[in-house]
Order: sequence, then C-alpha cells, then structure tokens
Amino acid sequence: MERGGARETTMFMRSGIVEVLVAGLLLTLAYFGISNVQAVARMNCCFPPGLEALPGIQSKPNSLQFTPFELNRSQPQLFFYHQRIKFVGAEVASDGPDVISVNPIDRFTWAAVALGVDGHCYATLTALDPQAPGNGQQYYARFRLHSVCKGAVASVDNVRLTQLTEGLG
Amino acid sequence: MAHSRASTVGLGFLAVLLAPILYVALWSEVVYGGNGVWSNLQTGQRSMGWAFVDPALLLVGPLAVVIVTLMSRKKNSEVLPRIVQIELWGILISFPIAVFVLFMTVSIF
Repeated sequence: MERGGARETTMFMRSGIVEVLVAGLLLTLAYFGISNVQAVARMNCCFPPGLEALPGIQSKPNSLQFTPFELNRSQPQLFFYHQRIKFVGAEVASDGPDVISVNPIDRFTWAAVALGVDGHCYATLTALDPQAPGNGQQYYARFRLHSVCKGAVASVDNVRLTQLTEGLG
Repeated sequence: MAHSRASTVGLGFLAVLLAPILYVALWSEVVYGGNGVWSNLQTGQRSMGWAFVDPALLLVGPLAVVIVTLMSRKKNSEVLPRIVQIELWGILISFPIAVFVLFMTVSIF
C-alpha cells in the first residue's frame, strides 16, 4: 500500500517536471515578449516614423538623392510611412515629426533629424563603406531636450547608436 | 533492458536537441509577432487586418505547447517521451510561423 502511494507520488513529481519546464519556457518567452513590446512602444512613442522610413544602405549611392529638393519631390518614405513629409536643409530646424532636416554629409554619409512628439530631437545617420557601398551601417541618436533640431548638428561623432531601441527609452 | 536504456538515451538526446530549436522558433514568433502588432498600429502605416493577424501568429505556438502539455498529461506519463512529444508539436506549429514572420521582417528591411 505504502509502495503504491510512493509510486503515485513519484509519478506525480515526474509529470510535474514537464509542467515546470514548460512553465519556465513560457515565462522566459513572456519576459522577452513583454520587454520587447515595451522597447518597441518606447520607440513608437517618439521616434519620428518618417525618419525610420528614409532610404538606408544602398549599393549605388547618389549624393543628389538626399538633397531637400529631391527628397521633397520623391517622398521616399511613402513606401513605409504613408504620409507626406517636408524636407528642409541642414541649416533649417525641424519643428515636428513630419519636418525632416537633412544633411547630405558626403556621397557615402548622410544624416537626417526630426523633432519627436516628446520634444527631443531624433537623428538617423547612414554611413556606407566607400570601398563597398552595399555595406554600411545605420546609426541613431536622441539629442537632449530643447537642443537645436537641425541636420547640421548630426554627425558621425554624435549619432552612434546601432539600434533604434538602444538608449532611446 | 539494454534496449530500454538505449531508447531512453536516444530520447534524452532528442529532447536536448529539440529544446533549442523549439525555443528559437517560439522566441522568433513571439518577438517578431510582437513587433508586427506595433508596426501595424503605427500612424501612417496602420493596417487593422494585420494588427489582428499578428497577435494570433504570436500566440499560436505558445498555445500549442500549453495544449499538448495538458493533453499529454494523462496519456504519456513518462517524462522523456512527453517532453519530446511537446517539443515536436511545438516545433511543428511554431517553426513555420517563425520562418514566415522572419521572412516578413527581412523582406520589409
């Protein structure tokens, strides 16, 4: 009788191991899922979507492509962000998420900034490898509150985050 | 007896082998599915259809794991075969979805 009880307890514990493993797996996933959703929510809160939708790394860069005149004409963000944007020069400040100040630094590097709804100025910078323009890196930054939101202030020295969610929270 | 031990070792090996595959498949599904929900609700790129499809994609894999765990409780009392059964069902359902959401994410960028 006692042996039967002990066997039942062992069976119960054995089946419990599987539940504990599954619960552990799902809790870990829930943790990652929730932290990811929070990070994306922070990003979606204030990072101007038009900035995110600008053309990034490309194998045949053309410096003229990033002038305000050309960008206002082509509206390249429309593919992802279905809203028209006003592009202004590097010396003109952005006064909202849909006004982007662009700074075509050189043929392989260009930056753009826009004022987020939280009052911070957000920047994106694309830096291509001159030897192989198809290789490159996209960088992001959020400047201090009330800083001047002009494309001219964005450079390789101050736009250095490699992920949109990193440090923008 | 020797056969039983060999099959136990084989199942143990299979369980350990499948665990990371299941984890990565579920992780991709949950994380990229979560991103999709937000992307589809964002101003300027709102898509209510996908905003309903993405949470469903996100939940299918974890729900499958929970359902198989509950259903296998009585049928399969041995630990290793049960773990392998859960892992196989989890992978069968979540892996194609993970590949799909990864493909969607990569094709966007």
